[in-house]
Amino acid sequence: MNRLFTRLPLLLAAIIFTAGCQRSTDDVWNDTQSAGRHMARGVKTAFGYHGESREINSPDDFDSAQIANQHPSEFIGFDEENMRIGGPDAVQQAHETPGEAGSSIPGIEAFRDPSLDPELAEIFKHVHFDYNSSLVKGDENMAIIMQVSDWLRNHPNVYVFVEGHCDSRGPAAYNFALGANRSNAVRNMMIKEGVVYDRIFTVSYGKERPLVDGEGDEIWNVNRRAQFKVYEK
Amino acid sequence: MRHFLLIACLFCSINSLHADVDDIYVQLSSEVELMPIFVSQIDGADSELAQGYPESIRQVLLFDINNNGATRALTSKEIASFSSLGNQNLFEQDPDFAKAKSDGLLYLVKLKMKKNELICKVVSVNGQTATLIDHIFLSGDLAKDRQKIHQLSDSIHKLLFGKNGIASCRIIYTVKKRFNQPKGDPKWLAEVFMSDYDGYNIRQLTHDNSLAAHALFMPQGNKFLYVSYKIGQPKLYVSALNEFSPQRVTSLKGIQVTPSINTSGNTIAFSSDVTGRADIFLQPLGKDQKPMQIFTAKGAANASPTFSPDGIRVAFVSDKDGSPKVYVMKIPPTGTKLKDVKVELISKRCRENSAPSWSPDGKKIAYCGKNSGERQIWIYDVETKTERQLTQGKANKENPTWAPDSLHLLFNAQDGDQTDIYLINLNQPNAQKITSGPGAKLFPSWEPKPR
Repeated sequence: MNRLFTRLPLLLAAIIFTAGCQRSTDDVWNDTQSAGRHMARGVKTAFGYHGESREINSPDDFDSAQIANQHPSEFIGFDEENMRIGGPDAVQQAHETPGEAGSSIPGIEAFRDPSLDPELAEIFKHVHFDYNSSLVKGDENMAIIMQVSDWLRNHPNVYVFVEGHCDSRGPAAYNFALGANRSNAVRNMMIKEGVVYDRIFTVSYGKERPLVDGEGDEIWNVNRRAQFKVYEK
Repeated sequence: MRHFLLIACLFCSINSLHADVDDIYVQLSSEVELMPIFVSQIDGADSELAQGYPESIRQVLLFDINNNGATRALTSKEIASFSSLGNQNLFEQDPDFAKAKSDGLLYLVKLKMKKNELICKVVSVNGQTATLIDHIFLSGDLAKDRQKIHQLSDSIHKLLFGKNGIASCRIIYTVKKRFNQPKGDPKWLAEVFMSDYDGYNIRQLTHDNSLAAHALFMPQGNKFLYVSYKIGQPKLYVSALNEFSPQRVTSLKGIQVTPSINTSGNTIAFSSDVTGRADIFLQPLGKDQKPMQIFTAKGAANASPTFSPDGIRVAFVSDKDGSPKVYVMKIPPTGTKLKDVKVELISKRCRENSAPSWSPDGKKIAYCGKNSGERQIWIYDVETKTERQLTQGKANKENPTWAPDSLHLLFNAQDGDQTDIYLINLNQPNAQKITSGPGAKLFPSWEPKPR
């Protein structure tokens, strides 16, 4: 019996290894990520950590109440209790939509690519993402968002589009939604860094506007990005 | 003994995993036997049209007969081998019904021109009767006359099978092109185009000079809905088919993408990030109607809702459990708590599923999914709750859309640098490429009813 227990990890490793050989690297990594997420949630729950839920002591602690209050006539959402389940990653939309009739902000055609300005190119670098993910990770990406946010706080007349993009591998329709989540992930962080929400707009191009054509890890990494367009009023 | 048990466990585990991989790839079942039909040469002795023109017309008819999923035109070799067909290019000549029956023929389609009128006679071998379809006046301009031939094909289909064909349906799709800029990022533009279902008679519908996506016909048939980036954020617009006049559908903030519309034409569904992530919304069409959020999940990207024909359920894509999958749910009434929204996973056999499309008869959901490297079109049977792979081959296939007959599908497939639209039906798995030329053709959609 002792031998069986000592050999059990080896058996499991052999199964995973053999199963992995039958599938592509991406497939195995995808499934490993999913399994990891589920296991992490389970372990956290066992130790009493329930995701991002926390004790609410007053209505002011309830971030999500802002969602219900921001544009009460905008849409019919899930009720307030369940917006709490939705979590604090949902944040307020800008009051104006660029390019819309009556908006004081022009459409995206008036926004310029900061990479063409030597001064701005070093600040407004692209934020990159892992495959099939909208999580902002890594010191470099965090630093980009912080420096962009810092610059915008010091230039209160500048508005910015955050574009979400995907590489060519995923399906086109889903990629519009994934690009939207990437765009919003960056926007949310900028708001938390103190940039006024009314100055940041999201757009998703899915995989429709690759920066570089072609296939391969290097090209895919470049195309999985959030990038910026700016407009000074 | 312990070593044996260990190896046996390992062997069984490996075999069970192999069994899953083998079961995922489904070979297409044998084709449904298509009804062979004799289609005569067009007797043009009395024709006023240019020489050779009747044969052009006949080719249009042959494409329809060979791609309707029910019939196939006899080949020249087959015709030569049937003794009953020796003189059947003569319009007035009745067949030897006994011989035709023994040759296994059920119908003959005979054609002749009378000045500029095409006359068609559908002869039933079993019934020994003939039905005349006439008053098909041709202009000599093939672009204009193609639609009349498609309508003739649908009439023949109705005669033989009691239900309309889809040859006279039009389709719409987007064409996306890249324009390199001297400085900065390349510019990508896409407009919406309409054509006959066989890819001919192409007409540009939008002139936004921007990026367009996800065009679809409104059920009323005289308008279309599409996504345009012309002001920056993608928004939903409706325009008339015969005059480009886009109107915003909703004033909802944020991005709106991947729309669909219910059979009644009174509600649209789409994905929007107004909440800070891509969620599924419904928008009743009419005055003072607010959009309603019907699905959200923490950290998830949700997209591509498609209505069941009864309007009670939607199928959609979500990556809430990792890789994007297709789920089905009943549309929750207003006031439903999120925890009470139940979804059913339907795409279990492959990964990176997307773009579900519910068939008009309600019995099937088509979507794309990936296994073994290529993205293929899959069909989910709503009644048996089983999935099967429809397409094979190396190109990545996406965005399936059903024809009104719930038999034909269009999808776009990328083969190298080229992306085109393909036509397929459930009885004939060989796809027909119906577009060509520069630009990526994407997001096809069928006219909801034949004209």
